[in-house]
Amino acid sequence: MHRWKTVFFVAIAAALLIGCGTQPQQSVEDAFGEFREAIREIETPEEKTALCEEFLTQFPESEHTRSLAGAVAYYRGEAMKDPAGAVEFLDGLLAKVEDPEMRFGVQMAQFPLAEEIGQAKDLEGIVTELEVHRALTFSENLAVGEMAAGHELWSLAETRAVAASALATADAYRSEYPDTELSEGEVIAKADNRSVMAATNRGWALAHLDREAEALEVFEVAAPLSQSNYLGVPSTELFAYWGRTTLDQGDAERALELLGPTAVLGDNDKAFDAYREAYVAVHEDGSGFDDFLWSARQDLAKVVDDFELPDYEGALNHLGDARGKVVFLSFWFPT
Amino acid sequence: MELPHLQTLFEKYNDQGLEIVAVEAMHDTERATKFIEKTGLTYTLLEDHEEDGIVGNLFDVHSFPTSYLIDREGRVMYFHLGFEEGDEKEIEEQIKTLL
Repeated sequence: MHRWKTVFFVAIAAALLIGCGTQPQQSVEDAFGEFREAIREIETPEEKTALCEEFLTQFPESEHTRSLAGAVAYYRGEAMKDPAGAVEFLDGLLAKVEDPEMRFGVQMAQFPLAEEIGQAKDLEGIVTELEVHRALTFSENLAVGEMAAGHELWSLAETRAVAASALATADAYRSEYPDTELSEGEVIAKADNRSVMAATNRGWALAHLDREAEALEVFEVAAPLSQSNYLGVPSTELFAYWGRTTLDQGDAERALELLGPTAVLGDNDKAFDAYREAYVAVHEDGSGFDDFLWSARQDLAKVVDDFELPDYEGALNHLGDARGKVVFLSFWFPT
Repeated sequence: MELPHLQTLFEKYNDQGLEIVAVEAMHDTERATKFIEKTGLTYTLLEDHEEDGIVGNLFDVHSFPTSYLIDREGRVMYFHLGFEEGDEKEIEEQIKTLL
């Protein structure tokens, strides 16, 4: 679960730094302006938690409720390692919040922490509460489904993946992001990628519901739409899950093929473990695995593109100047 | 936070041919330089402040941190998405296979 935590944190940091649009009551916005200035100046999760909780106590219902509840979940629940305290604070907040949109956001932030301390909340109930008012968007279906899968609620994970799949269209993308500046082609690419994400999650849920044959079919149908990252590694878990399911069904050779790029170049432990198991199954022992992996990596690796960028003194640096050295190239942002 | 860990790896392996290049792409020079000074980083630190810069466009990076490990022939042999304490061990192992 490393990945979603990182993404979650990035989303919170972005929300805190950028703030949100529109202007409801001036007083809330004034207070939020002060809050945003203050949180930039402080370092520790304890101080950040205190500021977020203070704002939420003063203004439980505002357009910032969702993102600040997420911040409390992160700073108190994760960084301060106080999930029980975070759950209790968010329970207190929920008692004061009536708006269904805000309640949904707060409850989604709270759910994993409540699970962690053994006070499981009713994830399906959280969904139903919002559905009284409106249907979930693609992103919400996906998020709920992934949370359900993370806690092995496979039936709910499957239902939400089906709902997400139905919304994986260009039209649904436009209605979720009416102000999008993407071109027609880019919107279609987004929709395709959404289809792949929904199918990936649906197939993985089906595999856990002992419906492997259906799972394999779902994976196979979605595969042609799958997109890849800079290295040619599929950008979703589709091939990792497809490969694992194929291996569990007894076809190790096919599993090796499917898992290839994801396991060899990717940062994906699940795919890597399945890949090694598949290798052992095909070769009947694992002794040659390291050599096999090394040669697969050389076959799949691409030569990095050169670029030039300034350092903080303004001097241009070329990546190509480091050729002949081993380079660890990291893209980062200041928190 | 991965950058201080990368400084440790840089000091340990630089004389064996390891370079570290960190590209900051969040249009926030002030915060970046403050952080770099505070943590005493000495490897190559670059900024990509174009709207359609190399980070998003060429490398298709949309979540941070994302890292690539490049061998002496310029081939990308490994990538690492996100960072949690302890990941530096995995990164070090991967670097050692290429030195």
